[in-house]
Amino acid sequence: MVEGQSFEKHETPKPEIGPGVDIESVLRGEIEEIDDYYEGYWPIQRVKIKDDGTAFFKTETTEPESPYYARGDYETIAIKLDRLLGFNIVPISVKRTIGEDRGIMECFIDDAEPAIKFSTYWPLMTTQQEIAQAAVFDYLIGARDRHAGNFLINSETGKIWLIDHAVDMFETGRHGSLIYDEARGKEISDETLSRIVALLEKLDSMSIEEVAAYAGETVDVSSIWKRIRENAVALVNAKVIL
Amino acid sequence: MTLFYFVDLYELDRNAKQKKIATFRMQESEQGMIEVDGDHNYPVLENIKNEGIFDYKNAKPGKLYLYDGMNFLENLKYYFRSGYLLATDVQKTTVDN
Repeated sequence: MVEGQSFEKHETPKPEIGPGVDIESVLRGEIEEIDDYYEGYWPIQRVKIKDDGTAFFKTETTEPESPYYARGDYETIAIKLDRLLGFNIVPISVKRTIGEDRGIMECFIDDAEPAIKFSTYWPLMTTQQEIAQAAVFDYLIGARDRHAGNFLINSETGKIWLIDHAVDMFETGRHGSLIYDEARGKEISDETLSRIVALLEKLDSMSIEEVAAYAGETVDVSSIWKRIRENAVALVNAKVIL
Repeated sequence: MTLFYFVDLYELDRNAKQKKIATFRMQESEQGMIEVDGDHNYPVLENIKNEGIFDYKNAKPGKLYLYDGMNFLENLKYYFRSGYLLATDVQKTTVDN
């Protein structure tokens, strides 16, 4: 069972996240119950999936200036990068249509809380390794909106989850990454470096079509993956979080 | 009659059920002064008060604080949008004097 992901009622054990293994299939499962929209400006619903657990359904908008524009495409890039790295740091989500609403179904992490709940003491609630790994991820995507409401921490294990990968995070935000700021200048562990090297090898072996499949029709994925590749090369050369 | 602008902020419990943790309220005649209804010692509220939030609406670097009035209120919904924390749009209410 993947830590924190709230799908716990399978009669047969679910495998770990990894290539060919599929919590996404859970998120595509039969919907048992869907609540009304949450109170709040953005259209988010709580969904119970039959025999599996709880997820969010976040409806996409067609307004380019909205943070919910192309939401599924940006989230897909974040998840695919996470999987290529093998970090398991981004909650699984899948594009899905419910009724006439297109959006993303996102796994609800039930054992972690937004870092803002720990105020400025959040680094004490996690580990240097978790911070470094999350900082590498944020460096690779050029995170522009990683404030303390945009990542979760399990205060018992220290595990970090990175959330809310929208257009602000990849393209339009102006606020950087709190996690990256915390880790800047620190050495990257050998294990993390080897994962970045493996990422580069995978990216180099992928065709343009494979890269494009890692998002959708509304986002210029080639420029984002090009940026990720360039940042990965910079990290491998520097061996510290730049 | 006194006109107030307000934004509610919600968080989720372990069952992904919402509960309101604060209301940020500004009297129309006292623009720039926001009051917070909620547990002022709650870390989320402490953090908002002390660390501020970002200005998405005007796409400016830097932060907004309670004393930034309507600009602060209007940006809460952009800052808290993940679902784990979720803010409403700016709403209006009137109260009899």
